[in-house]
Amino acid sequence: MFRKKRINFGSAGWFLLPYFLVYFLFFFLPAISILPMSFTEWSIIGTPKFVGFANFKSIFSNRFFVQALSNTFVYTILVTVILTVLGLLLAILLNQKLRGRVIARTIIIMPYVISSAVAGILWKWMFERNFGIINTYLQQMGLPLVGWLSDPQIALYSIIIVNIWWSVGFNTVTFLAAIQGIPDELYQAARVDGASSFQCFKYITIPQLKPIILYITVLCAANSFQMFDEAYVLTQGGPLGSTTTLVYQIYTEAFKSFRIGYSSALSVITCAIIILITLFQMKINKGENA
Amino acid sequence: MNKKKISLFFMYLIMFIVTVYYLIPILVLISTSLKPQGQVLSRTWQWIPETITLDNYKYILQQYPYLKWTLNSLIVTGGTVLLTLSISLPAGYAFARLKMRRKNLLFSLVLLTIMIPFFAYTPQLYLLITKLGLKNTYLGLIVPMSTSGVSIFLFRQFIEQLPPELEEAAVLDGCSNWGIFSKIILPLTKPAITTSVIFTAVKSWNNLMWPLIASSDNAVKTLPVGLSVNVFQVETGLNNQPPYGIVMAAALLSIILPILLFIFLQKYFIQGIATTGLK
Repeated sequence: MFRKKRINFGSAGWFLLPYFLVYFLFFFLPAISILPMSFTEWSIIGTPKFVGFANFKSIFSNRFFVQALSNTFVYTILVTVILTVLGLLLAILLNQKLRGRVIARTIIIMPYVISSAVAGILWKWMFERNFGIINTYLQQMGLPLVGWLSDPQIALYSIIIVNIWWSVGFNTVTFLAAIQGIPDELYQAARVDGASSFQCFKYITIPQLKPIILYITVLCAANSFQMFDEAYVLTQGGPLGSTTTLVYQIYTEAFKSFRIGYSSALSVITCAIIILITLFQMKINKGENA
Repeated sequence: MNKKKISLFFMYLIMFIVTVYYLIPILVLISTSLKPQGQVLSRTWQWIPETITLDNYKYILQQYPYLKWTLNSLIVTGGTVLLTLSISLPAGYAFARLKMRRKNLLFSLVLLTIMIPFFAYTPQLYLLITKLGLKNTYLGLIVPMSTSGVSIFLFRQFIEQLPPELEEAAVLDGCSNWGIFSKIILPLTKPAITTSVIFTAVKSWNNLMWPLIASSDNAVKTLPVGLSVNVFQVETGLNNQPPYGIVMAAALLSIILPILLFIFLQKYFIQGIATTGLK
């Protein structure tokens, strides 16, 4: 018994080794080094200079940081909620025996294989102020032109529209697969007992889909928190910083202003926020399971 | 009966509206790419161009190393998929089935790659890649993108729910862990592998940020970078206003391959997710 355990342990180590080698060098090392770097001032050239908490102090007194923080949260929460709900509704719709649903499904997922750079460029053209298709039609209908990407009040929501177009298909397919995986007997039994479609949905579909809903929510939140491509292509973080997220700020500080220390401090704060959210989420899950 | 008809009507209506919403941008893309520059900037929208021209496509193929970018994208995507699979599959199996000390701690380390945004450590990763001499190389584009724990998570979930009887029989026959992994687990894990391949490939093919930072050389530049930096920004700079006909032609060229692959592989894509169940 004892011997078998030891052999298994050594064996598990070999199975894990290749991954953890790559992991250590290309993830762990760079990720951990943001911590010491966040206490320095460094512009890539020369040697880093220790400055204590100066970076953090200047970040918290910077109104652009507060703006980026709020942009990130508004974007992440809206995209996650809309993508999850819409994905589920579309999956339910496409699960009905409607004619043409296979074609509809193909068309809905198609944008997902288009790169976000292409999606961004395409929508930048559609959102174009004077000649873009959306404003052209608005004008024809006698409506005022909308500065989809130039109005600081609107730009972030325009990016949300693009993201929904681009990625709802993936969620739809995942949900669709999960819905089709629910045993038919459950519904048959419920109908025998006289349950309505809505009751079936509430008491069978939703509980059965709970794990996949959780999975999709986490995935969407993680992805939208890291949104970069759309902001880079569509607005370059503008106008007036209205589409600058934490991630975008890290990028500009590091690769445009070459302030590695400052960008590291931003990264540390970002990671701290994520870890707090995750711990919070784990607590909620634990509470639910108990 | 009537109520049923009404609800059916609404379902068709919603399906139609949604489909159109998803289709319009694609039609805009195709239509614009076939218009001569003069007709692109027009006050009225034309779905079918007055004069259809292929000049935009010719211009793109002549002015930019478009085929080279495509090839680079293929190499980087293929490499990322292969590396991800070959390091994540054994790890996923180990986490699902093998006994080890500090399993939870190790798995938390893996989950850290999902939690910590790639962007948080991109500057440091860039410095590392530069130091290792991997900047502007395929390896430099591939290896850092293979650390994501998503595939390990997927494989662990999938392998955990496989019935253990087969493996128990193999253990009785004196099969080693490697034998079990390669002969029993791998063939059964095909659906999860399909899912992982599609996940990783789409992500890698679409990746803009990392190639943007780690490659400045046309020799290794991928499509999204070539498209958004070279074509989009350069053409915008040359013309003040982006010449959308040319830009759309470039965009369309870049999506032909993934769309064809998608249509061809759609069955596997959907089946992969379906059989994985992800429960």
